[in-house]
Amino acid sequence: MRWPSFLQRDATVALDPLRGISTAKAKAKPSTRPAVFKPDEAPAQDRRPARSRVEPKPRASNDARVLIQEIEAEVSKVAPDFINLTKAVRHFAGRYLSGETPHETVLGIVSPGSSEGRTTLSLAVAGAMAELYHRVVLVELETDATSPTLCSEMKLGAEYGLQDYLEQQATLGSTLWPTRKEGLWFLPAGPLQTSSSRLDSTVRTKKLFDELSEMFDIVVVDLPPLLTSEEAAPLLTGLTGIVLVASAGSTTTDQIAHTLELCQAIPVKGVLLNKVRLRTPRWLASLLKA
Amino acid sequence: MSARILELVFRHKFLLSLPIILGLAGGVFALSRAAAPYYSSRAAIWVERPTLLNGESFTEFNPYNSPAQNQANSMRELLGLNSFAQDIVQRVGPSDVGQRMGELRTNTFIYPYGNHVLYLEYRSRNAVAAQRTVAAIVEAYTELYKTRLRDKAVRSEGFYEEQLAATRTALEEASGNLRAYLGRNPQLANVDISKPPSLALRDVEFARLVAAEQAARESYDHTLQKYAESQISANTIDGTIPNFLVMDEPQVPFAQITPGKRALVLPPAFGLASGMFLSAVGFLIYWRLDHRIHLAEDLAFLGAGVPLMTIPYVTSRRSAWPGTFVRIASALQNGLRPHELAKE
Repeated sequence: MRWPSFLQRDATVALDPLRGISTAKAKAKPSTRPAVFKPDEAPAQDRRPARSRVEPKPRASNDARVLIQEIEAEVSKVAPDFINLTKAVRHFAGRYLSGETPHETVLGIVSPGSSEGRTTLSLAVAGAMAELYHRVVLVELETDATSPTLCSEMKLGAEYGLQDYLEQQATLGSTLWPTRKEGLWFLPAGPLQTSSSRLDSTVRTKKLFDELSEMFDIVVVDLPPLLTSEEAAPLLTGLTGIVLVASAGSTTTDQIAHTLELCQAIPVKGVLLNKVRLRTPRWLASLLKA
Repeated sequence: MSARILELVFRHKFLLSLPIILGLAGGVFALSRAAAPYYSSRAAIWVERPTLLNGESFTEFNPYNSPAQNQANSMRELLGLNSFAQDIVQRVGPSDVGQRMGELRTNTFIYPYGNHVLYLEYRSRNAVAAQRTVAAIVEAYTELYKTRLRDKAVRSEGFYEEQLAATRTALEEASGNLRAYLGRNPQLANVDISKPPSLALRDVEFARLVAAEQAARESYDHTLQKYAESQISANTIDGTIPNFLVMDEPQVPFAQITPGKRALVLPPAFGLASGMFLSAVGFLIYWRLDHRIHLAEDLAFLGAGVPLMTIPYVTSRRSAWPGTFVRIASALQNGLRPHELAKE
């Protein structure tokens, strides 16, 4: 297949679709707090004096627009598997997650290790839930400073993130990010430079879950890998249910068993077996099923 | 279970099929070597257990094996020696010694039949060469056998000849001493010397001389016997009575031998079977050691109460999408936009 042009360039450029904007931000850091955010309560005053609150000039990059058009064209035309992914998650959410009680559900998307497609499926689950409920928020909980966050990959330009909120340098309202999908909000991880203690962060994260539960019908949390991140396990107690993501061909049965041991107090809402690639010819598989 | 087996087979199809392909290829290669028609010439040799009369054996004879087996072993060992193989090849013809030495080793078949019969066979594409090679092997072996035995007999004859001279001198000296003592003591002439205790009581010196004379005589007799045996050995070798005899002389074959159906089928079948065995071993190793989850069936241990959904690998025709691309695409589809674009 022919990849979109941004993937054919070197990695730095490939993951930096809005290069021009990044350069501009270095000169004058704009505030990117979404103007359209209107949850039930008004956002509190931002207590972060060091950062500029100047509205940026609209610098809609042609590169970014082309990139997005390219990816969307690729998704819609070339890869029926991607459409199937969305459909499968939508089906899963409609069938198994539609009975969740609004304002009482904090759903964790967990996986034993990294690179198992947890973030992708978190997005898909949150998107599907947004079609079932009025207000859904996706929380990106990333604790490893070395792994890329969705915010950095997408160049969302969010100045404040979850980390800022946990360090009490930003309010909840200033960290929430509305999306184009109706009813879906996004809480990015933000810059990962932890200064507060882990215990304090854990307590505040749980408190955040409570606050978000009050504000939104459903809270979907993209948790760090459970078996490799030490911060993930304490946060499990703040959840009302989990969706376990496993990657076919890399996750082992032992890892699943260990993950379920860690989550034994929390109801498992379902398992998403990601990256399934059947090698058996379809006609043979269907013959077996028959 | 059957779905898992099939999936495992298709997942590792190249690795699992490789031993089968290699085994089959090896079998076909062996077939190509074995399928060509050839001439075969064979000699039947009668082998006896080595004894004094047939010159014994010049190699170590294993008494627990049959004579034919012993003979086959010694002939195979000799064929492994370059000097022996070279000797045979040169007897057959002078051309291309190196190549024919290799052929000699691979195309010569030595196998015992019963306890005493030994077959010596040579296969060649040339009928005359087949016969001449067998004859050359028998000839070279017989010659080597005789040479070695003759050397051994000559050496032992010479050795025992020297020993005999020494023992004869010792006997003559002991007899002379005894006779001289009897001359000085004539009263002892009638004493029964077959009873040494009574003799020793009468005269100790006389008893000692009698004992010395008897020992020298025994030694002489023994050496004389050995000398006679070695002489017999040397003489019988010249008279060609070894412990083996060529019963059927090798003949020039008049017809080619074409391998039968069995010979045509066996090598590929064996190769295929070996490959399938190795493949099955590989399959079992994967089956037992691969604990990764590939199918929904692998998560059956979670129980029926846990909802399970499989998500297909995002591919475009044959190549997988990069993880970052999938993530960004998923984010875009769910309404996330870079902030500049979000405002448009």
